[in-house]
Amino acid sequence: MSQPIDINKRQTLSTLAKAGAATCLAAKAPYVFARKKHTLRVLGTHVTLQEPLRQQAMKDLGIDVVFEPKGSAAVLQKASLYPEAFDLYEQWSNSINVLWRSGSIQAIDKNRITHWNEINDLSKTGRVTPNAKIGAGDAPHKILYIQDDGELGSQESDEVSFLPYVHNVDSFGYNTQVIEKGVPYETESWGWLLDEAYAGKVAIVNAPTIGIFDLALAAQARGLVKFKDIGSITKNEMDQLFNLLIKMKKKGHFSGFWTSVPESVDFMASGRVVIESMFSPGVSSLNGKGIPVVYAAPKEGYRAWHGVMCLSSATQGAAKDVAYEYMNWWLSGWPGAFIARQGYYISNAQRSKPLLEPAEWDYWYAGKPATKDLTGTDGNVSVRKGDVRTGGSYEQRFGNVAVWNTVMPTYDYSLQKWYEFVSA
Amino acid sequence: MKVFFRSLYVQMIIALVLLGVTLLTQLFTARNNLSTLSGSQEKLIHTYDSVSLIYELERDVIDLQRNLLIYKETASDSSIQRFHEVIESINEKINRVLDEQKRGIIYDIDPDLFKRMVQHIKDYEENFSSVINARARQKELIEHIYLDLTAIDQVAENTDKPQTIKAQLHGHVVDLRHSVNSYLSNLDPSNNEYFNKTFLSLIELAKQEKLSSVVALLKDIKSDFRRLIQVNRGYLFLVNVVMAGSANEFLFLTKKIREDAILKQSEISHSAQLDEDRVKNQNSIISVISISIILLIAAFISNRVMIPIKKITTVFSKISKGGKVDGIPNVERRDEIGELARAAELFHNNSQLTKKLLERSQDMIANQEVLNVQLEQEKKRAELAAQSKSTFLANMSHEIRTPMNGIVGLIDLVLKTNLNNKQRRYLERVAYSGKIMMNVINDILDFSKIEAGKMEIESIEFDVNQMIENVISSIQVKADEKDLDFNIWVDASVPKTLMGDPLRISQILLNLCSNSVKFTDFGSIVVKFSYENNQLVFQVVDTGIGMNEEQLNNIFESFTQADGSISRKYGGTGLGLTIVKQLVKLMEGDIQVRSEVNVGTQMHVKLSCPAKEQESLLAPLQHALSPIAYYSVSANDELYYLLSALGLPLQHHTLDDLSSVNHGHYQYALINLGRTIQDKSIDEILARHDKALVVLSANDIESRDCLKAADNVDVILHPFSPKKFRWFVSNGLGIQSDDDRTDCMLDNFQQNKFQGHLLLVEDNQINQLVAGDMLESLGLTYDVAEDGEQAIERVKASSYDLVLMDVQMPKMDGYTATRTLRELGFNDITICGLSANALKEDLKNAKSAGMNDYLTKPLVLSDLSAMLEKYLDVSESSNS
Repeated sequence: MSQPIDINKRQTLSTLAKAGAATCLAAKAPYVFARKKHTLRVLGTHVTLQEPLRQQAMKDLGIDVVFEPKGSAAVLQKASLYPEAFDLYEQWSNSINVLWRSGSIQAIDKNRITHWNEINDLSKTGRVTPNAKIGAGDAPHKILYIQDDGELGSQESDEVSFLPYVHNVDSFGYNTQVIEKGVPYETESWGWLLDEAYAGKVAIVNAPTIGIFDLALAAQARGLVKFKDIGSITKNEMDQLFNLLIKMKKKGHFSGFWTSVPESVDFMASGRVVIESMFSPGVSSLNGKGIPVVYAAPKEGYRAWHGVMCLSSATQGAAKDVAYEYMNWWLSGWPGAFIARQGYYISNAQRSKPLLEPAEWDYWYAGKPATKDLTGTDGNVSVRKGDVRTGGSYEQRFGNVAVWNTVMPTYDYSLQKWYEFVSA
Repeated sequence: MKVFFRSLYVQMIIALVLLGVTLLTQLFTARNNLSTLSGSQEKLIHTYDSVSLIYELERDVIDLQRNLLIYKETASDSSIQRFHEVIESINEKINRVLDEQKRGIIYDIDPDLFKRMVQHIKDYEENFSSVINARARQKELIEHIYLDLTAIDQVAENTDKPQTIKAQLHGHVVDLRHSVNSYLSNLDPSNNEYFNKTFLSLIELAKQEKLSSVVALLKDIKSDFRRLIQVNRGYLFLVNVVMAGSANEFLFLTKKIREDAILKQSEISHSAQLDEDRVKNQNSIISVISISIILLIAAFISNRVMIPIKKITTVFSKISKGGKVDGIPNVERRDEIGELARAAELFHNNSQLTKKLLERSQDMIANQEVLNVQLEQEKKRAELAAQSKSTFLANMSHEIRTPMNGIVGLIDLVLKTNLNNKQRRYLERVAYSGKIMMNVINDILDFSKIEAGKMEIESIEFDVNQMIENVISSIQVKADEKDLDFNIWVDASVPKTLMGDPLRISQILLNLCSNSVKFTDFGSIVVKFSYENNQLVFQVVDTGIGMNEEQLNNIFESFTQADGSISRKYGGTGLGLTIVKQLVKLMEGDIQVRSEVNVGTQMHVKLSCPAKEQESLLAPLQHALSPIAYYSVSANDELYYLLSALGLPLQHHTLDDLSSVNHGHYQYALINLGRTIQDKSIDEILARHDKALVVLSANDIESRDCLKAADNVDVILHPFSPKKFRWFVSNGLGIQSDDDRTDCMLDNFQQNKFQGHLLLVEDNQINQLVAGDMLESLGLTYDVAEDGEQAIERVKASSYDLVLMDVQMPKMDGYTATRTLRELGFNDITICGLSANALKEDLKNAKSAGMNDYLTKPLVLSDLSAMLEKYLDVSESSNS
């Protein structure tokens, strides 16, 4: 007997379907139904917490990943005080000491890292090539391994404080529309940051562990202050430096202090600054916008940093497993290729090489001229045909590190001085 | 349109309108400007407020920073509270800025920038909470460390270790505590080392002394201290780096906004200033314009209106005082003033004119008086002249007519005697000439009368038939002489009597008919009468020589005949038609001529003659007759019509087709014979009927002779009067008619004879003879008196049946005699006046004198007879 369709049933079904769809949407992933794994929470900065990476990770790993990108200071703060708020923590090496000592992170078993052996020597021994300089400050190899006494040291062990992955050398960026393009390693100098010619059009990253080094290098380059060990600046040296800097700040030399890469991009793009400390993706983004910013290769050497992926001390069990999966994924090739297009290096570049076009590898890693226009991860052309990566190849660049981002003994003092400097 | 604008009134209106418009404009612009000014004022104040808002915002942020520092130092609750208050204030200000942004007057902030600002404050607030937490944590840790240190102290105190150890321990604890404090107070890294050093020594000592609890406590303290450092660093970082950065950035942004706002403000201020200036200028300009317009209008009014008016007023007063003014100003202007000036000019001119006129009038009056006198004289002279003219005419009339009368009369008398042929011939010629002369004289006199305006048309009731018969009697003879047919046809529309002047109508008719006879050599003359629209209409149609167009144009001209040669051939004065025309005119009539050479002429006359009675001249006969055979050439000829008008039933037959007529079918026959007649046919016709009435032409002697023999035939000859015809028909058909038999005459000319004894009063012997002869022929006896006195004597002496009284006589004229006789009581006796004059006033005079009747000289027998008929009995032996 053909009976009329039960309206109520239909309504219920439709409601359920809607609800189901809603949940799908809420999950933000197309494959919610399959797994019911721990949602991975990653705290970090814009540098590595990029949406495409997240999407790809979720796709490849089949898990929910939540990124929480913040400015580095806030990130650090949060991480160090609330380890339960995250599973993985992405930062750079200068935070390791803080985190380790505060007990926010736990040791990573290097044996659980699949591609550990592919990781190059930079993070293990500190030299990418046998002749390379080891920069001042907290070179990653000095803080990688967990020593017997629980401190971090360079002595190899099975436990490491972080997963070496993304790393790069930083310098400053300058707008070649205003500042004439210099010669890498020859004319380009940190001293330009303090050049009065650019007064009012300079910005510095708002992070004492990074910015101080930019400014210290600049002051040293101009012969205004001399440092015995630039990786461990003394109180007196600090006073000297900051007296100078505060004076300049008062004169209005510094236009601003940026706290995130997008902000740094904005500073340059809006014309607020013509020269500023920059991170590589910022430069790529500006080039993609058509602003000819050159990432300098200062003759004094680079300021290097190493990205650290740390495991929260609060993450245990299944969550920990997921965390390891994510860590391994990072060294699985795709992420490395992705970030390479932003100018970052991955610790196991070999694995990522096949995923890059030869032209890309040649430009980004080999330091060769681009044989064609290269697009960045945002789809814009960030490299024109014929461009050469400033500083040259990976080896060349990492062979010229002046200082590593470091938390110095005078760090707390520097905080005070930094405050005075910024508020001047 | 131009004229319109020249008017002063219009100009004034325009000026006033212009003024009104200007004032309105001023009002309007003033209002506008006021609102503009107040608007820009408001705007300006607003911008100041907006800028100060930004300052306040900046100040708040600085306050925030200050508060943060206070908190950092003191960790006081009030600073927390204050912090939040400031945050609130900042947020509120940010909202105000946002609202202001929407208005778009002063702020033009990039929304991204705004977002960043808002975010910075948010971050700041968040970070502050973290700081608070950190601070709390720090406090906790410090407390914990102190507790632990105190514990160590206690342990150290309570151990049974040697004093030195205890002292050492205590000393280290103090140092440790000190190091912690100094670390907290200043952030010198040497304090860290100090701590470490002290710590190491202490822990070594503890380990040495196997104070495990102390060691544990120390480890605890170390980790706490580490954490403390961490926390410290953490929140210091937040405060010094992050929050400082946020605040700095925020201030940078606000500075930007402020600078832009100040720029905008100066712009607005500048534009406000410009507005003000503009307004001022506008006002000035409009004021100037208004004032100018007012001045212009004032000038205009004064110049174009007031002054001219004053001038003209002066002029007027001068003029009114009678003075002379040389020139009047503003006459040429085309507006009201101009009109006024022109009016003044006119007035002036008029005044001058009046003066001149006055002078002239005075002259003229003087002249006039002279003229009047002259006029009087002239008038008298004219009157005399007129009178003399009349007298002349009268005299002439009398003087000429009397001898002529005599001549004509005597000749007639002589002709009645025995004469030999030669004598007769000669005398007949004389008579003829005399007649002609009489005609000429009559024409001349008539013409003169008319020219003098003395011709008067009577309006009396006259018998139409009588008139026709007069015409017949006069013309018939002439027509007979030339062997012409003379027919008269009268329409049924013609009434029996009409109002008019029978004498003059007859004169016209006679003139036209005699002209026709004169100019027709063969053929006929037909006169037709009809009546319509109170007009008597008659046509005289002849078959004469006719006239061409040129001749037609001239015939009515006086003294001209158709052409000059005619008078030679035909005789005549040439006045006849002129007189006719004039008479027609006097009778309110019309005369038309149509003519064709060698064909004939038609005279068409209409005369105004009202009819008192409508009874037709041809009233139908009362009869009970059966149809009468009517024989004629054509069916609808005039005779047929005439007979029909008389009410006779007719059946037409032509003279040829007698076969259709049966014997005895018709009792009566009416035959209209033309010229042609055949014995046989006539006999045949006559045989068929009991009686036949035949109408013949007067010249048709053959037919007449033929018919004379027959005994059942009555004959009537053309021309005949209607009455005559009527009587003829009624008599012939045996119908009773009311016609007076004595009016009619059959084809023989019968003359009435009267009975009676008359008195003839006439001074002229010739006239005596003439009149007397006439009376005798009429069978009357008479006596003669030579003047009025004698007449009276005679009347006294004898009885007379009638008195013929001549008017113009010596000693006593006719009127006086008549009057006297009447006064004497002789009222019964009939007195008939005889005069050469035929003026209306003569008749009037006659009547007023007491005369019964009036005849004009020369005496005509028929007239005399007609008159006598009225008063005397007819003699029985009237047939001769």
